Amino acid sequence: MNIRKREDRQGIAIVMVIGLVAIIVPVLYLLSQLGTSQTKLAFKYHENLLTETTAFSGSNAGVSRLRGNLRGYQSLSNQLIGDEAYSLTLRPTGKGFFEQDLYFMLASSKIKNHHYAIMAEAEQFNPQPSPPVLVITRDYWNTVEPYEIDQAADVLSMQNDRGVDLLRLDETREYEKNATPSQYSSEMSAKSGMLPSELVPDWPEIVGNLTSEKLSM
Amino acid sequence: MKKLLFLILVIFIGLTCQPVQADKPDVTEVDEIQLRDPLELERAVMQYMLAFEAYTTARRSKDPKVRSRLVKLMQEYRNAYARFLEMLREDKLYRPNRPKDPAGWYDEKHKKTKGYKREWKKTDAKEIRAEVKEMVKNGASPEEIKAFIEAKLPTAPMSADPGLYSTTTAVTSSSSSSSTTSAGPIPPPPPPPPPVTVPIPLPEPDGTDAASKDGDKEIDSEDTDEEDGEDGEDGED
Repeated sequence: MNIRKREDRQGIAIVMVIGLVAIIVPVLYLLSQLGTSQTKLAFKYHENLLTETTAFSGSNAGVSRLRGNLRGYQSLSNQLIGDEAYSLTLRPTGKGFFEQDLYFMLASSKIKNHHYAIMAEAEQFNPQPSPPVLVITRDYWNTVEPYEIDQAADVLSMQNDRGVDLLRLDETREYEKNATPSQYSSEMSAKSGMLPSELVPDWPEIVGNLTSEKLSM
Repeated sequence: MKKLLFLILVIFIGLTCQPVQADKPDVTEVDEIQLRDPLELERAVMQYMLAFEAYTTARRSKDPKVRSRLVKLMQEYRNAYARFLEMLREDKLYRPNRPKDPAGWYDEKHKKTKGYKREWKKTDAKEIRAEVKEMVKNGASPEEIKAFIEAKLPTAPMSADPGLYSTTTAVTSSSSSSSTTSAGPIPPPPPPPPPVTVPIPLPEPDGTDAASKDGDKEIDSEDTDEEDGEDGEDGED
């Protein structure tokens, strides 16, 4: 009789354990998945930011090279900054009216599946008599497309994509130039509705600054 | 077969890895280019270069008074560069989707019309930039800096037209007006000086040598006059 009771208890215990395991394990799995997706998202943002900052470091390195009077075509790949690597390409495109060298400055970085490439124009003047050299950079343009900045075909594609954006920028410059300060200010202020709510309180001050910087030729 | 494939691969890699060179303009594009007075272009470049120097000096400053002028100085730089860009656009020396090579494109047209390139001045105006830098550090107002930059802009072309020089040296013995009008292609070989026309007055025994030396001097002064003339035009602008 006692033996039978003991077996019954053991059976109940086994069923309870199995039941608990059957409930707890999926719950734990679900929770772990939720945690993983959050973590994954955080890592994704982190990697995105890291890719961008690494590419910007590459771009700054390009400016430093030009300021140091390094001239002509330069292509550097796998340049480490911390644990991450960037590529840098400086392509001469022509000459300015003071015999200054004009370049396309291209910097890119890739971390896992994230790409970031920066393309800008740089003017490198001639040193008299010695460096540092005056370097003017402008019209920065960036993309997350996986372009290889040391291949002519890819650079041509970037050049065309950037050209389309530059045409829009030209239109913006024309508008900026022709609009009166009050017209410009009121039209910019009207756009606050299109902004994220966090930015709205700061928008009037930003508009004030933009209006004071406006092209007025 | 493997060697052939390897060769094709090497050629393909070579083609794809070629650095992009400045695109030369097409024939029609060259025709569209307008050759503006080089002085205007040089003044525009000098202006945005000096404005950039003023802006970057203010940006690096830790003095709140200097930094408060940052926005205005940036605006001056943006205006100056926008003016230059507008010139390039008007003269068809700039296309947004093509690498910039304004002097190269200008020279293409110059070569087509005159047969030779212009000699551009290599400079970064280091001394003037140092003065601008000092002014910004000493707290000069953006208006004062702008006026200083405008006063320092070149009044005579810094670049040279080699054709003018070579033709003037080639035509030393002929009349002075011909040297100014013949600013075209270099190559026309100088005709031998007609020996008959010169000796009519003949006041001096060695008049030919003296005449040629004087001629050189006259033509040199003409060159400077021409430059002054261009300055005048610019002044009007």
